Amino acid sequence: MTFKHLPGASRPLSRRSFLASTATTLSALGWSSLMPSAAMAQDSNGNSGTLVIAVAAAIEDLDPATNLNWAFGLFPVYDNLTRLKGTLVDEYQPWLAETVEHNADHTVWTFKIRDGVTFHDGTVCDAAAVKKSIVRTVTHPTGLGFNWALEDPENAITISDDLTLAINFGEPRPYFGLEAAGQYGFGIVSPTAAESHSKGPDDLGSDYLRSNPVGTGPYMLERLDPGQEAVYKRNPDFWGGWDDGQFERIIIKTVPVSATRQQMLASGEADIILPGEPEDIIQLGDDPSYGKTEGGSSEISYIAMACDGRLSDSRVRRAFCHAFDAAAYVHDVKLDTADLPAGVFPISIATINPEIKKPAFDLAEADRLLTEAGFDRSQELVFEFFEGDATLEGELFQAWLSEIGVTLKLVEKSYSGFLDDYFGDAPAEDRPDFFFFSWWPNWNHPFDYAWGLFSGEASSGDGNVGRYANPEATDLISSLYQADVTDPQVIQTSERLQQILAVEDPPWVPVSQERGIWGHRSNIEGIVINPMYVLTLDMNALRRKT
Amino acid sequence: MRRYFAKRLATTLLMLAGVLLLTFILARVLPGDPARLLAGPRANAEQVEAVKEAMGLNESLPAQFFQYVHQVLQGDFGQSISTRRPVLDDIVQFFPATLELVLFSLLIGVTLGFVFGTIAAIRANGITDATGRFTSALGLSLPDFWVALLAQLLFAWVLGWLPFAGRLPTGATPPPDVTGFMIIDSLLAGDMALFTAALTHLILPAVVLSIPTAALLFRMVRATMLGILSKDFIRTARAKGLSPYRIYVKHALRNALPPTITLLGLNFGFLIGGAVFVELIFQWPGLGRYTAAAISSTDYNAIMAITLIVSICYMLINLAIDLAYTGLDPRIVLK
Repeated sequence: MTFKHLPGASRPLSRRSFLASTATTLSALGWSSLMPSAAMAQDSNGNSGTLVIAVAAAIEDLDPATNLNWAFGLFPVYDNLTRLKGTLVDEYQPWLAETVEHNADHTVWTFKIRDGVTFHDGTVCDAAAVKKSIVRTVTHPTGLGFNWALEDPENAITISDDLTLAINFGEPRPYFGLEAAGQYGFGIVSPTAAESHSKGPDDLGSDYLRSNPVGTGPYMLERLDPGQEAVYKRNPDFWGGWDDGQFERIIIKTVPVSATRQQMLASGEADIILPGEPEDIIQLGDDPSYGKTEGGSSEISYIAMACDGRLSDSRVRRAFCHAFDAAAYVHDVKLDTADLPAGVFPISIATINPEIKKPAFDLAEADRLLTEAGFDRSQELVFEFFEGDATLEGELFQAWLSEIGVTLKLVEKSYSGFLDDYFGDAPAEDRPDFFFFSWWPNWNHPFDYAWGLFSGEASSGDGNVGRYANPEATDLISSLYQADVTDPQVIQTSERLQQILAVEDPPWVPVSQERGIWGHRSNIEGIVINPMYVLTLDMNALRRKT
Repeated sequence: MRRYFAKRLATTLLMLAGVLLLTFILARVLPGDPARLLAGPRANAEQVEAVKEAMGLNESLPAQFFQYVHQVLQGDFGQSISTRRPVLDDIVQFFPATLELVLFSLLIGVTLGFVFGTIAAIRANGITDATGRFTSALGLSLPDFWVALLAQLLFAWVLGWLPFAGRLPTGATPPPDVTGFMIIDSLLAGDMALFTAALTHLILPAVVLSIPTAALLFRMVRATMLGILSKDFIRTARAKGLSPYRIYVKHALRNALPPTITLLGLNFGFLIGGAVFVELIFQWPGLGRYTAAAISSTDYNAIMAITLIVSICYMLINLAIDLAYTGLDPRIVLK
């Protein structure tokens, strides 16, 4: 059979070609019939009470005793004794504890656990279980015990009845209510699960709990595909109860590329995303079907200066603070998706005076200070950052410094190589002069933020990467330990510290004050952004509008 | 034959010992403190020291090596810094995903390469040959990450024909793990919807990954076939009046197989450890993506285990190729 007169056909169509074409067409038709299956996820997202959140990093280490990286995956599963109220950073509410009390000098804190709470493994969460959980965290050899700062937890915690326990810190801890609401090390885990899966005193059940979390929170982990997605389902016995608008399941997908996350939001494949690039954040306002919710953040991006090397003279460091135009950076590079930093402290920290700012951009003043300090401009300075993090920031700094005759070499390292240099103990001459990084505190207090970063008593391994050792600043930081942040004297002390760190003897060039920003479909509500819960969401508060 | 296997086994074990030692040394000289990475950037010096102690990193290097070999012999590759799980668990989870992707892409690549390579050789210098040569040059020169992004954009976002990434739709429950191959396990579970979903997710990354293989095989098959088709025994076969099928497939193609199989084997080994970009772009939870994460986080336990696994794969593939030679060419005898 041939079709000699088909329009456009230059050659006769043979029987074989005809059969091949027919088979191809039929295959294509058959293929298109498969398409509804390929789009299955989108349908289920919209209608089945499933919430899909796309984020950049992987959900890992779901043991609250050891996770110090990113608490996002822990939040749905675990409850703390207290939790910060809404967007407030200085007020907590009893959470797993029904009541929270303390004695007059704040040395003893008493918690009454909610009645009838059970862990996801069905065991009872009472005072004894909470005590065991705390003791486990505090005594864990690779855990976050230092965040509790509790000596001898076995004896320091006493149980007075089934639901009541008291913690005696042996020193005043006026802000323990806020500390206990922190992201790191304060989630209460099932001691039964930890004990029954423990491989010994070095493990205490961590190997198991990292992928099989057992808490009391609103959601239970259904499945964890490492590096891919974490699927959570409702805890039917959640003590807080449920209402109709809440989600049956929450799927957290790891999607490293910002543009892909954006595309997923636009197409409806994701309900909420953590936007990455400033351009992507700006675009979130372009379509009525999705948008963004913004809030505060306690995260600061900065350039840390090596204070024990070529930048040991405070005039030199002041000069470099004058040489970075943070205002232009925030406006033109971050596209106003971040704020101008007030100084080295996040703006949300108690006692912070936003009027104490880093030196303004002034290359002439920078030039003058370098000359006054006798800084040798023939030497090449080194700016180090980890891959993909701060190329543009480095290039900007490089360009500004070149205008005053300073040569800056940019060194991009792998994350591991960067951390090695950043926290390492190499001598000053073997270390870079500048590091780009970001930081946020565990809880809202100037001491918590400042000690590891700026105290002369802290090492580079603690976070004091520049080995900053201003004696006055060190004394001021020490005096702030557990200090009453409403006390005018303490506020004055804190402001003096800010003045030193931001203006007189700066350890950092503050670059930007980050914001908490989530992109979401317009039918999602309940996104509460607390500046202390950096990059984390209270998923129990989320609802889909009907 | 038995002697041959004994010799190969001894060589293999020696090579594996060498790989173990080499990867151990390389992993230790890589920049980055594993204890800091495991503890996280927000850990203080005291906690990092505790992690270092727990990981045995304060021991001498020889002591660490012997401890490592002892653990490996017991099937314990240590804990991954990237996923915080035992490395063996990770490999058991990720390796089948890569294997499924690589085998499927090889199936596509081999089919295209052999079919079009053979046709191009038979119709040398014709339009099919010219088109094939141009396409294969393109397939070899285009970077896979670029093709992957383009394919994703076109088929997933613009046309919406295929899912853009992953192994299954978001939140879909995987079938019970029998083989680790999603399409087989979903069939074994009798779940046709899941099978279709798994297949649709597999197509795009597999096709992208198959392009260099198909292009390489096309050129290899074509060149080898051209050489063989000018040989005397082919002329004799034609003179004897054999059918084109017998001449091209039974005589010519079979003789073209040994060098092509060698290439295929090497390519297979390369894909097992090298499908990084495709896995990253398509978010395929396989060994390539795991390897990339392991390297960037100096996850030396994972790096050593992956190197060992890939080395074993290469060795097994080489053995399989040697054995295949004897089947394809009776003149080859293993000694």
